[in-house]
Amino acid sequence: MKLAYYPGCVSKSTGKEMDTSTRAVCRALEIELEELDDWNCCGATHVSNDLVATGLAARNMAQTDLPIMTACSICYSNLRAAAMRLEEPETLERVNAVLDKKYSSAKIHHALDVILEALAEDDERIVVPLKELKVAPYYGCLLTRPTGQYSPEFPVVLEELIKNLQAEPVDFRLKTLCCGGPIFMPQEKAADDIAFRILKEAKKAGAEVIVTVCPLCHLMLDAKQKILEKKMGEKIEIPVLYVTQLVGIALGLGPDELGLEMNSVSPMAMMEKVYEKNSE
Amino acid sequence: MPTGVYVCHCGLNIAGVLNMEDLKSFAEKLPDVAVARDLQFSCSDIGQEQIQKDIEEFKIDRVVVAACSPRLHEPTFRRTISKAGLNPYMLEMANIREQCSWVHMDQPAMATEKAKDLIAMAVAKAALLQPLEPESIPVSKDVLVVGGGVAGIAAALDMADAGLHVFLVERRPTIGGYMALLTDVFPTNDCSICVLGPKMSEVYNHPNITLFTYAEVLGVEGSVGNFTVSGVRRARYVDEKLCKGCINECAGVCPVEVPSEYDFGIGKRKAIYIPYPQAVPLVACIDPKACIGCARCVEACPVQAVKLDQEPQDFKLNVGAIIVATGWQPFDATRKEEYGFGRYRNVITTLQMERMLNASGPTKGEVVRPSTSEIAKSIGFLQCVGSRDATVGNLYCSRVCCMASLKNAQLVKEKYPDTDITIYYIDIRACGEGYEEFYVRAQKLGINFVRARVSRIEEVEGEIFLIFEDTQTGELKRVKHDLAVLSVGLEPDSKADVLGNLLGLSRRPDRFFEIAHPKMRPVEAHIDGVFIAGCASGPKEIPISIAQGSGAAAKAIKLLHKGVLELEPTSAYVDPEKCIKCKLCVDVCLQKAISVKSPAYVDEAACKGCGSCAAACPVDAINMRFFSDEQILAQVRAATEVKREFPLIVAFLCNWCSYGAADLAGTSRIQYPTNARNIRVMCSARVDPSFILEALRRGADGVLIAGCRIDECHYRDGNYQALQRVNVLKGVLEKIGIDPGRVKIVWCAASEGEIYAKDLRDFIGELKAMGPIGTELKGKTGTNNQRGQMP
Amino acid sequence: MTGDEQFKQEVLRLAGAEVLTCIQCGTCSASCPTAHLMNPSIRKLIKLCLEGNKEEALHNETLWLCTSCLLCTVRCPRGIRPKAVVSALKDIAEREGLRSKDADYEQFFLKQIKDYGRIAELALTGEFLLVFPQGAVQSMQMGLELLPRGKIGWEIEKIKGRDEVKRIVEELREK
Repeated sequence: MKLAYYPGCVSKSTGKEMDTSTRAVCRALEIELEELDDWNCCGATHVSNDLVATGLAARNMAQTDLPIMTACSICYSNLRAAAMRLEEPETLERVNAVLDKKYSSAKIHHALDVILEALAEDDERIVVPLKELKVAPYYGCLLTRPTGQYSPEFPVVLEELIKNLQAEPVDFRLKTLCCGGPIFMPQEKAADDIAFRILKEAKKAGAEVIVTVCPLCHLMLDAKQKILEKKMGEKIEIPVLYVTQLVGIALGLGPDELGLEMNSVSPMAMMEKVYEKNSE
Repeated sequence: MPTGVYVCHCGLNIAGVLNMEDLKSFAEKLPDVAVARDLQFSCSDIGQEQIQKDIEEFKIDRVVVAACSPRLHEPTFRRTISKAGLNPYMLEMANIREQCSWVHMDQPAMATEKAKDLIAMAVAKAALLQPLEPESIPVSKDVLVVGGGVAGIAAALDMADAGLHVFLVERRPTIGGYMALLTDVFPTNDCSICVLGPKMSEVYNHPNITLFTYAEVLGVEGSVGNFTVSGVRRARYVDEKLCKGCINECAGVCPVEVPSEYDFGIGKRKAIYIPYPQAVPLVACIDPKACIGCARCVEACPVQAVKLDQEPQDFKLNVGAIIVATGWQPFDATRKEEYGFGRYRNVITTLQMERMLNASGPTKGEVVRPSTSEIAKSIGFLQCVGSRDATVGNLYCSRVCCMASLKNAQLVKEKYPDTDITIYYIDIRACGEGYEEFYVRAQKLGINFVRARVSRIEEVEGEIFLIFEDTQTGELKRVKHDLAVLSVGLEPDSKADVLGNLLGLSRRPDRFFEIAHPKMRPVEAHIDGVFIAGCASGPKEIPISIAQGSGAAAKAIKLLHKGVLELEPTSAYVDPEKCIKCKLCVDVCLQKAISVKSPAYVDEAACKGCGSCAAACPVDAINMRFFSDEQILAQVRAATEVKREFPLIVAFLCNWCSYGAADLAGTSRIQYPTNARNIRVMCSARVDPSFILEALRRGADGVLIAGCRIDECHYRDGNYQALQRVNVLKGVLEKIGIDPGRVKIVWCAASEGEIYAKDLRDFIGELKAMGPIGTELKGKTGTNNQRGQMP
Repeated sequence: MTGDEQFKQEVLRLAGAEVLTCIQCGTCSASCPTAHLMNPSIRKLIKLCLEGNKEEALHNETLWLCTSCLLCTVRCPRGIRPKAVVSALKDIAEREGLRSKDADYEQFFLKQIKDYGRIAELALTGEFLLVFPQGAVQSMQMGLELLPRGKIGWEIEKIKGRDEVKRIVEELREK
């Protein structure tokens, strides 16, 4: 299978481990990725004008005829939303008027659904099944929105993937609550409160690891975890893995390939437990 | 074909503006006119007698009356000539009052010129009139009622009492519908089954009613008066005649227990069951999906009524009318995932609450939390679940849910006075006799009302919490309740789709069956002989469903009681030689009156004479008996014979709305210019593009088509079909170099005389700016046509 | 109504005419993850727009507390997109040169897209801290987390199609 790959801006900075592990997992699953030519920022959540946001996404989508995969929920949501708006002839006409390469149509995938498609339940490539590992499936907001792909209220696709890896999804009440990430710079307190609520809830649910599908969620829950612990005066100490990292571990990929050393909360203790279980 | 022409003075109403002498002598010179007179009041006895005398004396065989609107006196003059021995359809009227003298009071000379054209057009059409004989067909006095809920029951009983024979077909093993499952009903809190039960028995025992339960309609053919209906009675594996309804014997030994659909999942039943103790017929039924075939019930039955080898039975009926009372189904609450129905046990629906409150229901009238079976001490009712909600595609209000929750809250409060009850609502809709008082009663009982639409329910350690904004205080809240009741809305029964398709019923955007007119014809379908009652046409409460059942019954009785049906002889007919079987006519016919076997065939009993098929037919194989192609073209030609003014407009007005609007402009004395020559058609969809082209070819500067307002067409969407045809034609005109603006389509209701006049004034202005027809071609062809005709 | 009709129409143009159909049911507010901090609530914000109360609709913290999570949009029973109303108000605020730390952050973001085609988080943070030095503590803490893990992008990457992107941002914004 060959897909166009849209890494997104954070792949170069705070989301490096997402990019590294995505490429590694796709390699392992024989999914060929062709990076989008000269891609631009999707606008994230900071472009207020719908038409501009649509134009930015359309320029990316016009670069290829292949289905496009991204590992970032924000990019994913923006591309999907734009593709929906571009079904209106008037929007299409206005956007194409300013594009060099004209947009016609696009199929958008998140790395999550690509992996789920490529990885069967008892796939023999799962060499390190994540036996008895309690995983909190954290969807965040934009993977499921706008609606149409997964349920925006009770999605179960991550649970499905977690079970395929032989791990145990915990019942995670706040799994679709927004992490607060989009406003963490100018509205630090509001964002921190939400992120910490999510972390506490995951801990209460008995999770040994939280899995995310969005680099911003990952940043809020992982990179900020120690800062939040200090600020709130409460220990959490739960590793947060990007979904491709979790899958990569089960596929037997090494920490380097998955960028595990880039995680703030070390997943090493959790991994040791997994390896132990497998050697039993 | 000697024609008589009568120009009416109508006192000074016409003669005060138009030059009567001039019109009379003009008429005399028209082709085939044997006699022309001006009459003081043509509709008076003297006037009518003069016409009758002339028929005798001059042997005229057709009559033109130039007077008021045909919508007023056409029936009068048809009777006049009929009494003198002419066929009543040998009459044509020229509307020189409402559409001439009254609207051009300040332009008597031009108005007289226009009246000449109107008379010439009427005479030209009259020359082509054919005698038409209304046909009578014998009809069946049997009626099919589909659906045995309260609306179907009401309809069946009224018709049976009036002497028609009724076949009542019900899909479930019992009649009674949802009403039979409810506890007490608003606004009087009387017991539902106590009032419905006797009616159910009456249906069962009525000599004029044949009841088919556990049965479905699978085929419908024919048309009003003579429908052939086929269907099947599914096997219930129990002999209906033998079963005594004791049920304990058979169900007692049945080893299979499944959730009961009659308790909406909170109660259980066996594989052999009777839906509920008051079911009619009181006969057991085996659920083939649940039955494991152990045959213990066969042995247990004291009368050997269980027949595991029973086969489905086909039935075939001939009926004169069909009443669709297929009812509703509750909104599937699992679709509102944020409320957790199906996942959180203490979240239930209104119908489950009804069953719990029902003394013969699964909890024997106790209101409990399903998770613990303890009495619920705190209950929240969530309104508008699946109603008024674009996210599930149901924009409509389900109309009964506010009252149902008010009622259930009262019942709970009366039974358990300490229960804390809150109703979460967007708007309380208590519109009906005694309903607002019922709301006040609930308030006085201490039921809490919070104006909020609950955003979500969350469950934490077995407890449920409602999350909402109290919009009256602006507070965000998270409130715990023992039980949350989702007030689910009403949707059309999806199982009625089969019947809907068989009958060709149309649906509104809300997916309920559409009635023939949103106000004036509340129980009629678009198809003649088919009536709709109860929730099949939208959510409604019990009294209205009953009223509609009775209304539909009255309509069916009116239709069939004589045993014969007189058909208007105005239908479409097919020239089988010309038909190419393209089926375009089938697609445009809203009455489903046309079938294409070999070749197309028009069922004249079903045809309403709108003429859309005739306009759509690409090879002119379909024509109308009345308003025929030839007649309309003759009117067009007469209107354009002499171009008396610029711009000259040929206007086609639909009989129902726009012609009425033009008449209203007259009775309101709204003044407008004389440029239009109006041609009445039954529907704007009758306007064949060839009529328009003929008008333009012969020098009309513009063609106006006026129909009912969009969505108000009397044939449902004929005006929309007309619009599509006009749009296509405009494209063609543009290609051949004619300004497409010369053809204009407008909508006006019969109450919109001023709008009709304004549309006409606007169009005249536009055409003046364009110049005479052909102006746009001059540059291209270099020729200058004398009469402005197209080359 | 004495409100600013032009402002109301501009909101409707940007956010959709269905905003007119709001029934003030509160589903949006009760779905919002930051609603407890908002004043006015998102529900009231829509009412302010419909009243043409430009002053109150534009000058509030609510706009900047929206995380764009779209749950309001998912749930609104009228098919309104409350987040699109917030976006519309931000757009109007930006065009009218309204200044605040939050508005500036969005401005810097858009400017980076316009100039480089992509976002360089480090430069963005730097620019933001110049107008909002109070954010320095958080940024320092984050920097200490990210730096040793190689997750700070030092370079500003510029794409080739910058002119095209600039055109998208400028020409599609004005109608």
